[in-house]
Amino acid sequence: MFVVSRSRILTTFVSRKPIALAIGVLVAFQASSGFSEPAREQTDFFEKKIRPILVEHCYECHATDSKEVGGKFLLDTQAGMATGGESGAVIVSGKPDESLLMQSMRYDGMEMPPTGKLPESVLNDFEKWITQGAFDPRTKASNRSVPPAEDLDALWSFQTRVVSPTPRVIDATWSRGPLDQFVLARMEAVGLKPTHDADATTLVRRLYFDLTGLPPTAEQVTNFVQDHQQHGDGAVKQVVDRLLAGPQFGVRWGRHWLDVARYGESNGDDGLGRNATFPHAWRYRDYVIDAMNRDPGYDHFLREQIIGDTLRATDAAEKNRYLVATGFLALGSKPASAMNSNFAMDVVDDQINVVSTGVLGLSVACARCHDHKHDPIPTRDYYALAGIFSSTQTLYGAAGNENLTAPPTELHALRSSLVGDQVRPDRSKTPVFADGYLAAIQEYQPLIRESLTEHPTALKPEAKLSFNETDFAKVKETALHGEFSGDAESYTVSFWFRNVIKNDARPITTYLFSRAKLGDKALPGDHLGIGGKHEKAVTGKLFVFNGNEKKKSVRGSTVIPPNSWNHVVLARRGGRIEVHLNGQLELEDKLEATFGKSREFSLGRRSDKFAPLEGNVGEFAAYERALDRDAILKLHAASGQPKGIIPTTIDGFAMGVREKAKPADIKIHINGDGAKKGASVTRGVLTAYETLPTKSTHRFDTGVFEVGAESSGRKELAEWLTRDDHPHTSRVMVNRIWMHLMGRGIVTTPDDFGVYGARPSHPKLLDYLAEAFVRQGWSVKQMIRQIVLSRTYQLASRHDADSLRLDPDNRWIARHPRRRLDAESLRDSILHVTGGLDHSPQQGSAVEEIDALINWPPGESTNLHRESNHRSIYLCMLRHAPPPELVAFDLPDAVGIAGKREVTTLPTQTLFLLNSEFVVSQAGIYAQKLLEDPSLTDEFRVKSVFLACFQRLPSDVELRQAIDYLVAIGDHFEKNEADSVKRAHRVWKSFCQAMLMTNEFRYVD
Amino acid sequence: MISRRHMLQSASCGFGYLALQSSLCQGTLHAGTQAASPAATNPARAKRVIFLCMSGGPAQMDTFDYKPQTGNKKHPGSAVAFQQKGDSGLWISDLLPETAKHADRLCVINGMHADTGNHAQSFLQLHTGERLRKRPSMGSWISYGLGSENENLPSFISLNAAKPSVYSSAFLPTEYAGTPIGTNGENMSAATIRDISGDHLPSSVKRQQLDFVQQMNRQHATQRSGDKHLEGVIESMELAFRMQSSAPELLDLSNETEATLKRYRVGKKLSIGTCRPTDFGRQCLLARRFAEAGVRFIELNHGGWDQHKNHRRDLKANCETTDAPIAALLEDLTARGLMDDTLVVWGGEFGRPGLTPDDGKDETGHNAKGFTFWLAGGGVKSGYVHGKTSETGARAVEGKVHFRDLHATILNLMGLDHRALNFQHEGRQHQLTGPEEAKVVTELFA
Repeated sequence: MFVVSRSRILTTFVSRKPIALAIGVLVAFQASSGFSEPAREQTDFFEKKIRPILVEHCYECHATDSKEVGGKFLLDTQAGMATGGESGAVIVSGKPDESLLMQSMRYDGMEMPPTGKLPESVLNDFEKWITQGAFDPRTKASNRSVPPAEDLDALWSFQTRVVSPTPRVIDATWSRGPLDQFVLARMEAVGLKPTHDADATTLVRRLYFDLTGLPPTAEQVTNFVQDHQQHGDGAVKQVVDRLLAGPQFGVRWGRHWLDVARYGESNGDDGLGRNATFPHAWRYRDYVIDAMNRDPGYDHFLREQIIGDTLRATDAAEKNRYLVATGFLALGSKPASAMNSNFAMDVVDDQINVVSTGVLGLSVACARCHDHKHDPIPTRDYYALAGIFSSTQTLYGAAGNENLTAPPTELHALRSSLVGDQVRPDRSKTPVFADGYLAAIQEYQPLIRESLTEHPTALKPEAKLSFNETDFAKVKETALHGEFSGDAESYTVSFWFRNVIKNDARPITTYLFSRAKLGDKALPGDHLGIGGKHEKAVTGKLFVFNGNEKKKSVRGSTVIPPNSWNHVVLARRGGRIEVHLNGQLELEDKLEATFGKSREFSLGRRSDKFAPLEGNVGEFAAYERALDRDAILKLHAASGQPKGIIPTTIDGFAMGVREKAKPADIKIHINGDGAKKGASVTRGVLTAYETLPTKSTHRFDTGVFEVGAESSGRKELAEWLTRDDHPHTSRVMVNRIWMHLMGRGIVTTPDDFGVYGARPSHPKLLDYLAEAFVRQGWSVKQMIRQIVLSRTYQLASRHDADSLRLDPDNRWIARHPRRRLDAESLRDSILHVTGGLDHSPQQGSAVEEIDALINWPPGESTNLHRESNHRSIYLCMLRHAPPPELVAFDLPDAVGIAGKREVTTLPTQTLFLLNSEFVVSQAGIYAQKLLEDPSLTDEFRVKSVFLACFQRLPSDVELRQAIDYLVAIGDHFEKNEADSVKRAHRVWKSFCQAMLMTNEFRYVD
Repeated sequence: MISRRHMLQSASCGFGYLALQSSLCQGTLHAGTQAASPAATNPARAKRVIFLCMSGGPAQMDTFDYKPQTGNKKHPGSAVAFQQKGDSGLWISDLLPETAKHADRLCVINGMHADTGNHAQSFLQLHTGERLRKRPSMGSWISYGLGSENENLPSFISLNAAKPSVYSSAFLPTEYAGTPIGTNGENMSAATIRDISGDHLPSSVKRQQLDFVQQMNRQHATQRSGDKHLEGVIESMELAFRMQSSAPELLDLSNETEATLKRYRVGKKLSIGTCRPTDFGRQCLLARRFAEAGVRFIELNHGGWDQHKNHRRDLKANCETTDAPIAALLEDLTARGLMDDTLVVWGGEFGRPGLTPDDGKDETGHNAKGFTFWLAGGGVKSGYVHGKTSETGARAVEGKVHFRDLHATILNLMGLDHRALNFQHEGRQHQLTGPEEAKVVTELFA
């Protein structure tokens, strides 16, 4: 349809010489000696019945001289036959039913030969042959061997970094450092000279957009220009450091990573037209923005995202951050699970893809089905990685509560405090109270206080009980009864107990206390107990239930181990209930009081005799008022017993991953389909680094990749990925950074460093930067700083005809590339100049409360987006239903990894600028603002719009054109708009919209 | 620097001039009037495609592949009555009475087969030739090869579009991506091109406004000479401006007669079981209008053929929703003389196993091993049946046509050679038919 970027198309046609490389699993045959003398009969059978069939039906694809060996499997030699291909061994000697060869000939799963099933008699021959041991007398080796590395160049990225000396340059004065020298050397080699430096106004506009995604204000420009006149580079350093330290940096650079992480807040069409929301995905967005601002080191950033669930944290905030980070592996788009037996592997595929493409710049996912002819990544490697992720549990949530889409999973619970690291005090012994305990209790004037070391007076045991100093009252199938003196709603009871019943032995483990009319089956009142197997979420935890009529229960979070001694305080304050366990607030909630006028209570069993405590109870006190928290804590402290661990509350949920209970290797899925499986593959990483042609001296040695018995292997994978000497990880990331700042990557295919990707334009520079990156602790900010402070970055974008002719694509960077604002920067800039942008982070997401399908049922369009003046990164990134303000300008679909965005020129983009509600309404707001002060002249207003939009004043010609335009439009409206205020607004609104549509507004020099 | 306009004037291949670069377009091309004729193939039989995409897997044995019971033992087959129709005596299901009137125009392919019974993958393969990776859609390939016949409209339009991956241009230039009108799930009766119009300014003022913008843009570009992107934007803005008047006109059905709207069943929206309210009548009428206006590839979508449970009820609803609109489309194309150079394609990502009479079941699954497509117009035989499935319809046994063969055939009818229509990307040469050998089914040609 509408053609614009011609050069992009032309360059696509520049073909690259295909490289004939087949590193990986090719059959390496070792002639076996000591071959036993075959029986004539067996040889005859093979030669008469088997070999002719193989020759006729199989050799076309499975022989040494085949054009392309199918499945990397050779049938023309004994060795090939024995070894098998990419799906593993094809013959299990003596067992035809288990032999892949037999199965495929029977058209069971695979269909071989593909031209048609062979006659039954032939199948019987093969069955017989395999049953008898699959005797194969052929000894001549296949003469196909690993082809020589015709083009080691194609595998450049698999080789370790080489630190080259800074190159010599002719112009010794131009460079500011090695980076510039590497660039200049290449320029000089092709006869180019760098253009002049960008002027201060251009430079500051560029820096603001690149580091924050927003234009500078007119004032910021003026200040910088003045500062730059006085301090030169010092002024640049200052503004760079300020922008890097500011919060908007993370908004801009976080978005770059979200493109790589294929971030989306819904699943996207699952193939059945269903698109489930991801209500918790936004936490990952916030994590990424925060991580960019914190700059923990890219290596650590990756570890957080791949193994965050297993990282040790010092506090709850850190722990939660790590859990949220693993959303990286969970928020991919998944195909429907209905009628899809491969669903689990589809999830794994997405994870392999995001790690291999996102982190390594290598497309491993193709190896799911076949080894690829030129690719050094064999199918085995895919399944080695797949084993790691299939040993990992993916927590993506409820999937819109639609089972056809995906089976629902749990989510990571984000807790208010760390649970795991607190040491639980030993409570196995009967407590021996401190001396002042009794006095402390008396100070608060309890209604009843019984130590229960001897027969009580204010409590009535239902049956005969033993009381003693060492273990207080011993109870089983019984209770102690008492009464308050009035029927006030507020009261407090405090006691110590030991329960010996296991937490999963009964539906309710035990009831401890009831404030209720004894024997009333409707159970009006407060009933405090420990949950049992009836409901997993409450097993072993305290709860309070308010009777069969209201049927509400509130619950704690701490599991109370059987046989432990614990102190519990139940305090009711009107309509609220508090329970303290061992001096820690365990639960606090609204709970209606239902005991009415009843004053009775029961200790050690529910008021209707259900679920009695088996164990002990001691040191009981009851107060006819609600003790405040201080008092409760003070009283516990007075007991001299250790405080309990801090109970946790759940503050929210996050998508993510965690280890599976039983990690295991998996088998190759033949043709990527789970229906047919080949050999099992040991979990591991890519092997291409080690199978490089031997002449390479820059081999990256993985060493032994050993996965612990309890580990999925993600830990080992993350360690391997973030090794300082990993050839890919650092190169891929510095290339991404370079691309965002310089308009094109040193490798122009940032997601593909493989044999099909582009070769680096500046290989030595790439390695220099990667080395510097690692040496600077993988700091993204330091790398950005280094690049933007270079002279190369600070070049002007204008150029002479010569440099255009010699280097139309600006491969050698003799000038700075001019770039169009991306979707987010365009929207943010519009809001910025019209004065409406809210720079603060937006909390949560438009779908945080919505677990549902989008646009469902069909024909019922739903718009889940909400209006927002926050930065675009906070808009709701629903897959296949993106924010309307962004969709026109090449927003990635978030299904695949998008390290590099498209930059298209389409009429739909102009339609957005011409007619969209967003642009039109923002123009109206802007006009309103300009007209607020009636004393301003039109000339002044025009100048202010130029300053805000272009960061410069209009030329005399431009000023005249603008005024002419305003007059012409004013004349037009004269006729049909009587109200002069409204007319002025319409005129200015059209002018403001025009300014927002211009190329100058939307392009950065 | 030559502007795009100059380029267009000087290149005889017109809007499809990009295809020149792939050494494909060697014949003479007159911009805006005629399709490309690559030297390697026969002349184009069709100029445009209307693809009636029936997603979900239509039950071929209850529509076009008649399977009566044979022998004594009951077996899967047609669950509804069929009649022989027209002079050709084509068997057509009683559920499609209107389409049946056009029996003599249809070219039925009963031996279709595909690689997988997984919706998402097979649907992708039907559109792009590849089931796992993002590749250019058939409409994008054809647009890329032939360009547009109307410089005010997109060359590839997808109505009630499914997910973007099926109308994406992938690595082909983005101008060949499908323009969606109504995405899956939206209300099709109100669907339009996003932001195609706005009433905030009268159109004369809009023109003045754009003139002012373009004045600024040209000054900006002059100071930055040689930046083709800036020039491209200036061109593209003009095109968008023209689209504002041409596209809404086409989408506005108010000048169609009451009788026409009724014939197409415009606005009729059945929502029963799996049958979705896609306003298929409006889609068909829009397709006719786009075809008349010179849009190269028009895809229509009706979802809901995935009738697992309640097979009979949902099948009936799907047939009822699509039958009359398709018949009206065929009738109008014929009446207006467009049938000869318009290729109409009907089919989905696979078919279904048939119901077995009297076994009490009303449930069907997926069958990728044998199903039906039909073609009409554009140089194919009429009243003709090609290929067949086994007695139970379980698999194609004769005249087998794979998706890649269908793709090669459609390209050939458009005058394109599937091997020559290729694109170099990531070091590999890509084509719609994929790496495996595809055959042009010449038996279908008139």
